[in-house]
Amino acid sequence: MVTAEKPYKVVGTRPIRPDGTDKVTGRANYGADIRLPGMLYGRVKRSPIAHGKIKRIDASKALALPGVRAVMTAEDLPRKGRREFAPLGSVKISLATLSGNVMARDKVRYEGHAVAAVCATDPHVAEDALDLIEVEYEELPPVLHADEAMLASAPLIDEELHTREMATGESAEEPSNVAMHFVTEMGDVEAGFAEAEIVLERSFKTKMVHQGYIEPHNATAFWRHDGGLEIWCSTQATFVMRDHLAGLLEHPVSKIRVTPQEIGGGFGGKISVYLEPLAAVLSRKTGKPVKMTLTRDEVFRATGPTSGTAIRVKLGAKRDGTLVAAEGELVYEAGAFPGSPVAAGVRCIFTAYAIPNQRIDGYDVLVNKPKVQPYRAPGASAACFATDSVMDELAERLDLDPIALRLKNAAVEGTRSADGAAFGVIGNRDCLQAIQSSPHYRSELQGPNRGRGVAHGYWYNAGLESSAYASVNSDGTVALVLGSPDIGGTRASIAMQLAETLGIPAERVIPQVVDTDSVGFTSVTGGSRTAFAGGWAAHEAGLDLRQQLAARAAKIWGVEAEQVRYRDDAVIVGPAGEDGGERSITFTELAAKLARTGGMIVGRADSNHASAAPTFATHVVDVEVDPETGKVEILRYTAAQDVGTAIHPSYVEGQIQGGVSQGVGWALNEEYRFDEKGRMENASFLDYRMPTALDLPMIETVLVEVPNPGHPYGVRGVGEVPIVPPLAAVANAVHAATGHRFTELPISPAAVLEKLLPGEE
Amino acid sequence: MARVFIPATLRARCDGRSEVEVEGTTLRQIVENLDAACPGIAARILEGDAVRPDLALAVNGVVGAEGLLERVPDGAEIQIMPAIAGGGAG
Amino acid sequence: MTEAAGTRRIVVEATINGEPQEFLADERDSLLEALRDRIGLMGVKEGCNNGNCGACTVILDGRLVCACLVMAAEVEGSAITTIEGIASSDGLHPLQQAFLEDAALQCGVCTPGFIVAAKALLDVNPHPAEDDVRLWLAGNLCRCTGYDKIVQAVLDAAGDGKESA
Repeated sequence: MVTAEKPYKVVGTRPIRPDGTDKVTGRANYGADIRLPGMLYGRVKRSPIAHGKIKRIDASKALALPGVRAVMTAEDLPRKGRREFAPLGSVKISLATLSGNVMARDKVRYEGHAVAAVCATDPHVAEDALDLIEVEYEELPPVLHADEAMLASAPLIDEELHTREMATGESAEEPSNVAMHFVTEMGDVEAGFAEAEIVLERSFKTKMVHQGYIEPHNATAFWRHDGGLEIWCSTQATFVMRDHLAGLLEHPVSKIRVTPQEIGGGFGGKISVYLEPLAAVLSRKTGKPVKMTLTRDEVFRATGPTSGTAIRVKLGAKRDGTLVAAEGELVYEAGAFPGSPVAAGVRCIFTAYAIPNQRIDGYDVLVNKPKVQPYRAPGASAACFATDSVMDELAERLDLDPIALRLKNAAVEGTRSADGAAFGVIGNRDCLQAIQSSPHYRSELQGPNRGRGVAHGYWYNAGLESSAYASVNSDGTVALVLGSPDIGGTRASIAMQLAETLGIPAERVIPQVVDTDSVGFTSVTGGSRTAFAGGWAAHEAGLDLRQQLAARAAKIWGVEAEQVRYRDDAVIVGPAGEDGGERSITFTELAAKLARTGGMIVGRADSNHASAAPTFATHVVDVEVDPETGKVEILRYTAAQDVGTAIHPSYVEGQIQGGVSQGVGWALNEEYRFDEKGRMENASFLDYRMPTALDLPMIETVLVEVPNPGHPYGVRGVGEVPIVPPLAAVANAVHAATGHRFTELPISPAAVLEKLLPGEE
Repeated sequence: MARVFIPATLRARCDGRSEVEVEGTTLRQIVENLDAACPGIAARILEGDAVRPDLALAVNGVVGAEGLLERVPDGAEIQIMPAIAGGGAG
Repeated sequence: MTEAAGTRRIVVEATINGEPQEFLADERDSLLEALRDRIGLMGVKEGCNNGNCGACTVILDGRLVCACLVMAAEVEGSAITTIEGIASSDGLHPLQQAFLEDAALQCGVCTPGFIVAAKALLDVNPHPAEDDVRLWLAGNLCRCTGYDKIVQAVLDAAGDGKESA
């Protein structure tokens, strides 16, 4: 369902995506599909323990195995300082963290931490060689939970880490596993709670969960003898990868070229480097291209999940439901190195609501588990689970409709969040109203053990740099060159925006994602920025083309450029000619004449716009809980979202449906399970239970289109916010079905039975 | 004139104020003038010649890409916030 | 590669996508490894290598299998259909066309497995209900789409009546 009429010809239609045919016929080249002459196969030797000192690594037996060509360890990587940084979008990331995570130096910090890498002429031989690399450890006690990691008595994961106060930049005297403390405050929280007529305070926990992309990480590197380093890989961020490799390997940026292959899902988990520096070093050592791919087991144990969290939320309200005060404490597991998404959790936890008095504390805490990575709206889902569970209870206590309570408190244009920022034009209330008036919410849910839940979430979106080059072909098509790896169909949505600008059909724009030498700097595909910023760059390249094409027509006609105009229907018009009629030429006709009238034309744009706009989402879900097995079945799900302008509505719906599916998995089944020594117990798709087609119904979507006034086509990012509300929505529905509040995820059959069975309280 | 929102932990340097009004047309000028009003605060915000890597200055709620060169329109609101990255859909 | 320890080469004959083929495989190769690394059919994807994700789904003598769970040596004399064998020289299979028109893919890495599995379904049940499709495809994981548009595409392809093309 799409709610708005749009004044566009291409934007808002549903053309077949340009890369589609290759993907349905198996011809698309993903990272693991690279094959180069003389290629070697690399594998990673990993730590079997969660915490320990590396006493000795002996690779001599592995090197003696016929077919093995080289072994590398952290000794082959430059040692990086704690305050050396590499850029990642608008953020900087510590090279010591990156380097330490790709290959353990002195100490292993989690089970699966890389300690060595080997390459051989055959993948089976490389695998055999792993067992021949001898590593001796001095085991240390692991720290597995954030609450115990915060205790002064906890073993230190990093002896040189001191808690840093975000706002002041000051570090604590004593070392600690707490890397960072964030605090945001607005108004007078004590006075606010004193004014409240009802106060609810609840604590919530979520487990580590993985992004779960189907394609494992991979990288192929070739270090040429002139020092040129070629990388082929599946990444969300080719230019970020190039910068990070330059920092990690201390190799000039100009000598590194990253060529993106098709990428089989990322969700934030394919921004960081893992294999690329290892493959690069092995290639340098052997003079041959080296290809490395992770197994699924390695993906689980050694790439980024998102944080397990412990969140306390306290809300104060008037009897009519008006929120007057809020307090939040967010403790997020960073994994074995600093850098959880707790700052984003702090930013998002109460932002959908107008609350005059707030205090929010966030803690970034090290534990002996894999280093977390961004996962779709990083940090926001767990925060929403906490806030919107309490909102649900508040509605219940005050006997208010849950949507009405949220509408009463919804942030509107001008509302300030705790960091002081005021909202511009937003579709916050619109999403709530869309659900309120939806057939789903207005239907009656009948039957035993069934319940309905709602939740409401927020995400802020990102802008950043994008480049686009557009060359007009003589047949009236346009080749569009982009730097953003396409994960979910952004080639299509960006090409459509250029087609709209030029007034030509979408099929006439042929988009291509190219390597880092072939287009200007383009930041990460993430933060829901690609259709926004890439589309803007394509639009600007289109405007550049319009101007150049008008100038060319003027030249052909022998008139001044100012007298010629490029019309939105792709006809270039000029002043009346000798016959008295208006001169005109179509885009296609002019394209055919370019070569003979001064050469072909290229439009270009390097754009950087800081006008990304936030999005909101309201979800409603009906569930049925089986009292015998504890299984929760999703009966019906509807998601309304403020999507700005939906460029390609099918892919917007797809983003929403995909986010909901991941959120439902997070709510009901997915979790990292560790034994007492910190070894992951469920590192396979069989035991880490992601939703299948059988676990979900059709997911109804309502696209609420409130255009972003800061974008030529009104684009807001759409990809992230759909994963924000499902956790709370499902938990609230299970409460409605069973009468029990679930404050810990996942709400697995075992967890449900524990609450339902008598005598277990 | 711009309105700078002071994070809770920095308010001690600004006589407890949560907002300070300062002149300036770029973020660099804003930080310099803020330091005149709240001595020592610039040292908390900057590292070398740039904003601290883990911090971001937002103009009207939006973090731009021009660092201290970012233009500040008259009447703008400046927020001092943690630098945070996005995730990624698809 | 003959120098490598513990590896032995075997010759396997099979009919792949209608073409009789003879290929050299390592005795330790799974069918997935052989199809990709020895024959170059890169449309057969690896997602988990233990039979849980369905990305490497192929049709082996009329049965739907995960190629990662079959040894290359086992397929001697068999007929195998991979994603590369689904379209004909006349054009795309109705399932492929429906996946494109219904936007039933995002990253696309699970798509070959889904299309091969869906073809096997339509071969035995040309007019499945939504529940039939969901049950049949429960062995294929997709993380991008939430399955909605995939299920719809299979239903649409079945609706064309050209499903056994």
